[in-house]
Formats: sequence, structure tokens, C-alpha cells
Amino acid sequence: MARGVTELRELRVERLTLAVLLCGVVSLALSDFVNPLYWSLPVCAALLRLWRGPSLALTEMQASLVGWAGFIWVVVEVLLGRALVIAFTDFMLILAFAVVVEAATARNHLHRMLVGLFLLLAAAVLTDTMFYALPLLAMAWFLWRASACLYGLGWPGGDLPAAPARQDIPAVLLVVALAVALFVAMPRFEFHSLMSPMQPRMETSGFSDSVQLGDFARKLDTRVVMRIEAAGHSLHTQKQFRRLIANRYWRGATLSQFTGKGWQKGGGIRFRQQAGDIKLSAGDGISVAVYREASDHGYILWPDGLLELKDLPESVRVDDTGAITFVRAPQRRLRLLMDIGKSHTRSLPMRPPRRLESDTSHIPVQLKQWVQRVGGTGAAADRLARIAAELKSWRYDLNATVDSAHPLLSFLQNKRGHCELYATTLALAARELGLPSRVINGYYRGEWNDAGGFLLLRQLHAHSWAEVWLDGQWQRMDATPSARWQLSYLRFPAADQLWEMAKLSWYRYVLEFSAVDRLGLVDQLWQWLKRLVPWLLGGTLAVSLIWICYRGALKRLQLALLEHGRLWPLLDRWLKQRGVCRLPHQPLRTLPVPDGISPERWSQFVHQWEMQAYGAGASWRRRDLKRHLGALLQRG
Amino acid sequence: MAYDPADLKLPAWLLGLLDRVVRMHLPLTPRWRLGFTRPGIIFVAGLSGIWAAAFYSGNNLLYLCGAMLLSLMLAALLQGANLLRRLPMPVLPVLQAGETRVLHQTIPLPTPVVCSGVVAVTCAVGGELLHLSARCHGHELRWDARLRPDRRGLFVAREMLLSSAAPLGLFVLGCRRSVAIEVLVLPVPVAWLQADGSGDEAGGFSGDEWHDLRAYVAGDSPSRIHWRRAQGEPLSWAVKRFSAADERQVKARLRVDLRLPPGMQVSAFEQLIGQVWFWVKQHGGECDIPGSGQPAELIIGEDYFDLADAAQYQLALRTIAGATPAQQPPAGSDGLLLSLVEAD
Repeated sequence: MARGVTELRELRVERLTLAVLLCGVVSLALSDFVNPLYWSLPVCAALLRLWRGPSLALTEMQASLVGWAGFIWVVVEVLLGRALVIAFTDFMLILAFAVVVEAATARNHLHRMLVGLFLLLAAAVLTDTMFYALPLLAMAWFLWRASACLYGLGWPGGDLPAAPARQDIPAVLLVVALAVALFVAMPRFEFHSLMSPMQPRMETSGFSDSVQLGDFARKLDTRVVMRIEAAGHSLHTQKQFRRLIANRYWRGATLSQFTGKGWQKGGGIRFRQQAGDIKLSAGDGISVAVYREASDHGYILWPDGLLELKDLPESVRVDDTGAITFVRAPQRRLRLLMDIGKSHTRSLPMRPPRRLESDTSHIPVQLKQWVQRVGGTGAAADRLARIAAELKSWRYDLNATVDSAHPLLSFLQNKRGHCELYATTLALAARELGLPSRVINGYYRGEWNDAGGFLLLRQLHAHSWAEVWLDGQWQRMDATPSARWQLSYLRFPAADQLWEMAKLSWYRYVLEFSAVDRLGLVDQLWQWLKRLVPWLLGGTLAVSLIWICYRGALKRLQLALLEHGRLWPLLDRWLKQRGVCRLPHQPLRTLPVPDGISPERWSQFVHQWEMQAYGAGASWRRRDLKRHLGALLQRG
Repeated sequence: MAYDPADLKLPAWLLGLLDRVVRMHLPLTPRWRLGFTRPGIIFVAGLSGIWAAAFYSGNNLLYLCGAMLLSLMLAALLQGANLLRRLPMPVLPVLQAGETRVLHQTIPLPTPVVCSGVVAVTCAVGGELLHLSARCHGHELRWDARLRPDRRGLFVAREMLLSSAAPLGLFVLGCRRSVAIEVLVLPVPVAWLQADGSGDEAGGFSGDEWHDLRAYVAGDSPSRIHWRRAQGEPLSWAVKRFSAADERQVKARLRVDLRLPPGMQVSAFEQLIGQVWFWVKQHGGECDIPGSGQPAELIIGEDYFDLADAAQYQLALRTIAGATPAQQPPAGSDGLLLSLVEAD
């Protein structure tokens, strides 16, 4: 029987330690950097092991050989150019496979828990997804259960029986509550290293020094590029914030040189700025936090009316065409703090046009003729306005065929295309009319998330527009038809809003949980408490009144439900009246006979007391005790 | 311990280092101390590494992992502390100096314990340490101990040292609890022959059915020893009493003169008390079944006890255990007198 119990417990330990290990593997499987082949190995082995039981096992030596083979394989991977962190993770997963299939021993259980923890920590660097919380929580549960189960094994008097799962629920809830409190309370330090969470860079088009026509934004890609929310202790309501942030152009690449088939950056005077604050313009504005997803380009997309970029984590370059780029494209999501003016006026000082922005050498003849025809006569600005109006009347079509050899000609013929073609045509028309111009690639409008109260820019919001030198300054001209912004792209918008809100909360309150947010959270709690104080006071008063009114009834109810421990004060008082002072926890049988009580009766009383105290007899209530004490005092 | 870093085949020097740390106990408060088991040290070392990485990198996911593991540790400590704080105290049996008493006491608990675990309990009794072990699980608490006091006395354990690695086996939490547990340690019984006592039974054999047991006395016939109950040392053996022998018995009375003559050693007094205990065991029955023996009266100093009465039997035991030399002669005038004082 005892052997059976021990085997059952060992089987439970086996499953629990496997679960700990699996939590680690699952957390790492969430990373985009890990090859599914590596994490599926231990998962399949663990499932097989759970199915077949501990009989499916390799000896320690065989498992050790698997581990060594994995090590050699990973060394080869590193030599072939795999990143060291990823190779190390691959090795950990191969090791996890070896540990899963190893024979279940005390050492093996320890291996599993340690490897599971290592995998969880590695995943903290290699992923930043919200789903990471799930294996983390599961590991807290399984680690607790497995440790408690292992602790109960091998005691001299036999194994401790395994506690039912519901007994551990309060402990695990306590762990979660404490973890949240510690997470909020622990101080943060600003050392940057390779151990920050990574995410794969999103591939984009149109944000480079050279762009071919037709490459840029040809499909409705719903991947999120940026999330923008009010930062700090903003007094703005959601409605005000929405009004302020909506319908802004978010500037990215500035393309000045037309090559015939596309655009090139065409140079600019660059000045390098170290990490920190960049003050661009003076004035009052609102603070916004921009969560920029890791992309394959280094452009910082900034909106109209940008006043200041604050606390930049990495070095940036700012050039005189209005492009701000990181020196190296960041490998991870960044939180950028910006101050934005209430008006949409341009903030960055830009140089006057250079020769390449007036270059007409690559403008097709057909386009020149079209400009003359559509523009008519008059001032250049008026003619350009007529051309823009003509373009706006054309049809927006993302799937229009673009002839790679003559992209603009097919656009002029079909009178349909996407924003890049509209912007290019308008910019070249301006040049033909003698006005310097260039094309800007960035984002426009975005999508307002009602659930979370923030703006969201997706890849499908990528946009291209023209800038023309008019009246001594660069002026934006957008010839894209407004039908562009009425395209439907989400199947479940309500669910998507909630999902995006949850993601932003994860980024804000977990991944980028800064001191400002902590203060904000504490402040919010304080405000909430202040609002609740009158209610709390009122509630307390009401409860007190109810308590006082019904105290008598409650007392009677308590008396009815009295347990054994509640009888001690009464008994102690009675003993004290008869010259016996009982120390706490002192059993009755060790006390002298109280004054005036027959030793025989006292002995009988003690016996009855112990019988009911240890469950051998019916439990006494207060009146039972009084009756027994009364019987002790009776004469005869 | 079911899981141990020694299983990881760590080098001996590292295990030695771990053991040194295991021996250390950090004082948390004057009453509470914290120690680590070997797995606990590895856990804390790993936790420190995670926090160092978190502080250095600012990676909030590492903060989250660190917070989770730290809270796991804190929750385990809280549960362990709760277990130690609420552990019901044992009711110790009557002990006898020089005799090993094995204690297996299972107590049902009205409310379940916060966590399963084994608690080691140590208490100082009369300059000696008693070690007990409590296994708690669900609604059940089991006390196990092998108690062997060396000195007679009526002691009160004022303080108990409890320690446990429950519930996870990572940290050893120690706690000093103020208690008042009375420990009754009776003297080593000193066998002595008396005219109307056991000696007269040793020779004859009358009657064919025994109806009672008494303590073994050196010289008792082996055929009268109750061999099924004969365990441990001879002093704990039982001897059968036969009806014929019982008929001859009269109510016995022993008067004990507690005066210690000047110049006489205390060991003589202890011998005297041992003889009293021997007599009480003979006439009062087994100490766990008070009043089951033949009618007998004991007068120690000025105190009178009817050993047939359970409560007085208990009081007699307390008096024997706590007896000290007295100035006054014993009360009463008849019965057998046991004294260190020469007759006038």
C-alpha cells in the first residue's frame, strides 16, 4: 500500500516537473527567433512521456550523449553564423529534450526545473509578447506544486501525502498578488544592454534611401507600426486628445531625386544627435508616448507640430529635409516621448530647395505634355492646383498594374493607382511648372481605438505625398483621392480594438513600465481612493450601525457556532476564580485541582473535556461547559 | 530531502561551501531565524542572478520573472511561519528518567493546516533537550518522538524551538515560541524487597488464573513474567498477579520521610524517591492506567494520596517527580516507613 502511494507520488512529481519544463519551452516557443523544430522536439517528447509514463526513458548516459551532440551541433551553428543568443537558446532546447527523455530520478527532476527556469528567462529576452504571461503564471503554479511534492518525498516516517490542488490555490494567488506588488515597487535602473526584450523587425517598403515606384504600400497590411497615446499626467480628455492627434501626417523618408523609375534620398546636410532630448520648436503642446514597433528602417515617424523629442534611447540623425533617423535600426520596440503642438504647423526648420529638387531631366515627355494640357495657363501655383484637382478626381486603386519600365505612363493612361503614383505625378508636375518639389513617405490619419483611447498606425496607413516650394516655404500637397481612406480592412473591428488595447496595456504597464507610469498608477490609485473615501466612510458607518444593532443576535449566533477554542477564556476565568492560573497551551490534566472541587469530579471533568476536545465526544458549546462547571460545584 | 544539489554531482568544495551556508541562520527578529537548505541556496543564488540581470538590463520581463520567484519565496516563508505559529503543542506523556519513551500521537485538527510539512521541535527540559517531530497534513497532526530524560523532576518547558522547511523545502524557518508545557519525569525506580510486597509472591504459586499485573521486581519467577508485554528494560516488564496472591493482600500504606540528614549525599535522597516510585508502580498499577492496582495509600512528607483514586494518583506522581528534601517528618503513624533518618 505504502509502496503504491509512493509510486503515485513519484508519478505526480514526474508530471509536475515535466510541466515546469514545458512552461519554459512554451515561453520560448513564443519567440519569433526560435526555430519551431527546436521547441517541438521537447514538446513532442514530453507529450509522449506523459502518455507512456516514465517507462519511456533513456539512461543518464544516453541523455548526456544527446546533450553533448546538441552542444556540438550548436557550435557548428555558431560557426555558420547563427547569432550567439539564438544558438544558446537552441542548445537549451536540445538540452530540454535530453532532460525530458532522461530516466526520472531526483537529479532529473532538479534538471527539469532548472532548465525550465532558464528557458523562461531566455524567453524574457527573446520575446515581448503578451502571451508570455501565460507560461509565467503556469510556471508559478507548477513550480510551487512540484517543489511541495518533492519536499514531501523521503521523510523517515513515510512520504507526506500530496496536498489537493485546491489547497494550493490561496498560496498561488498570494504569489501572484505579491509578484504584482513587487513588480510595481521594485526600482528601475537605466542600463541598456543586450538583455532587453527583442522582437523581429517588421519589413516595410518605401522607408529607405532609394524607392522604386510600385514598391510602396501596395496592400492593406494590418500590422501595427505605431501606437500613440497621451503620456504623463495629461489633463486632456480622450475626446480632446483624439481631436488633437487625429488627421496628422506622420513624416518619414524625404525623397528629393527622381531617377525615372523611382526616387532617391538625394542627400541632405546631416547633423548627428546623441541620445537624449531634441528640442525642435518652442511652444506649448501635449505629451504623447509613441510605441514604435521594431522595423527594418531607422526612421522616426514624427507628426505635424512636433515640438520636442524627449529621452531618446539611441543616437539619431536629423537632416535638413525633415528626416529623423536612428543611426541603427532598433532591434526592439521603443517608447518615444514627444511634445506635439496643438496646431499642425511644421516645426522642423528646412533648408531652401536645392538643384536636384528642381531637376526635370527624368520627367517623361508624356507627363510634360499632360501637365501643359491639364495645367492650362496662369500662375504656376494655380496651374499646379488645377493638376492636383484633376488627380484627386481619378480613381484610387491599390491593385492597378504598374509597368515597371514606364510606371508613370501606365498611371496616366489608366488614371488609377496608389498614393505613391499620385504624389510622384504631382511632384514632377510642379517641377515641370518650375516649382521645386519632393516626395515624402510616411503615415497619415491612423485608426482611433475607442476602447483604449489611443491612436494606432498600421502598415496600411502608409502614405505618400508631395511637398512643393511655394511662397518661400515647403508646402504639403496631397493629390491622393479621399476614397483611399474609406477602404475597409478589419473583419472584427470591436474585437480588434480590445485586443490592441490589451497589447498597449501590456507594453505600457509591463514592457515599458517607467517611473512616470508607476507614479501615474499610484496617483490613479490615490485618486480612486479619494473618490471612494466618502463611500468607504459611509459604508463603515452603516456596517457599524448594523453591527451594533444586531450585536446581540450575532453574539447568540456566535455562541451557537462556538468551537472548542472559544471555550478556553471562560474556563480560564473560572479556574482563576478558584486559585488556578493556567498558562497558554497548558493542558488541563497538568493543573492542580481547583479550590473547593472534589479531585474525583475534577478528574472526571478533565477526562470529558479531553474527549470532546479531541473529537471523541460531542463538541461542547458554551452552555455545555457552564453546565459541567456547575456540576463540579455541586455538593454530594 | 528529495531533491538535493548533491544530485547534480557538484564538486566537493562547492557542496562544502553550500553546507557552510546551510549552517548559517539569519536572525529576522529576536524570535525568528531564517536558514536555507541546499536547494534553497541554489534558488536564492539564481534569484539574485535574475535580479542582477533585471537591474542591469531594465528588462521588465526579467523584473516580472524575478518578482514571481521572489514572491514564491515570500509566500513559502509566510506559509512556513504560519505553520510554526499555529502548530498545536503536544501533550507529553509521563516520562521516567533513564527510560526511552516512544511517542506516536495523532491529533485531529479542527481546521486544516496551511500547508503540509514536517516540523522539528526542540524544548529544554531540566537542562536537557527533548526532540520531537510533528507531521502536519490536512486535518491531521502526528507527533513522533523518542524521549529519554536523564533527570527526575517536575519541569515546565517555557520555550520551544520549532523549525521547518515546509512547504517547499527551500528555506528553514526557525521560531522560538513561549509555551508552558509541564513535563513530568519520574525517577528511576529502585527495586527493594519488603515483607508484604512482591517478595512473598516470588516463591509460591497459587491459583491458576491471573487477574492483574504489577511491575517486575528483580527475583520474580520467570514463569510469572508476562512475556508478551515484556519489552525494553526489565524494569518495564510486567508480572502476573494471581487471585490467591491477591487475597492475601491488605491495603498497603507507605510513609515517606523526606528529611535528608546533614552530611548525607543527595544521591541517597534520589534513591529514596526511586524506591517510592517503585512502590507506587507496584501498588498503583501502570502509570498510564491510574488506580488499576491494589488499594494503597502513600504519604509523602505531609501529603496524603489514595492511589486508587485517579486524580490523587496523578498528584502523587507530580509530588514524587518534584520531591525535595523537607524539614518535617511524615504525617501519620502507621504503615511502612521509608526514611533516611535514623530512628530515634
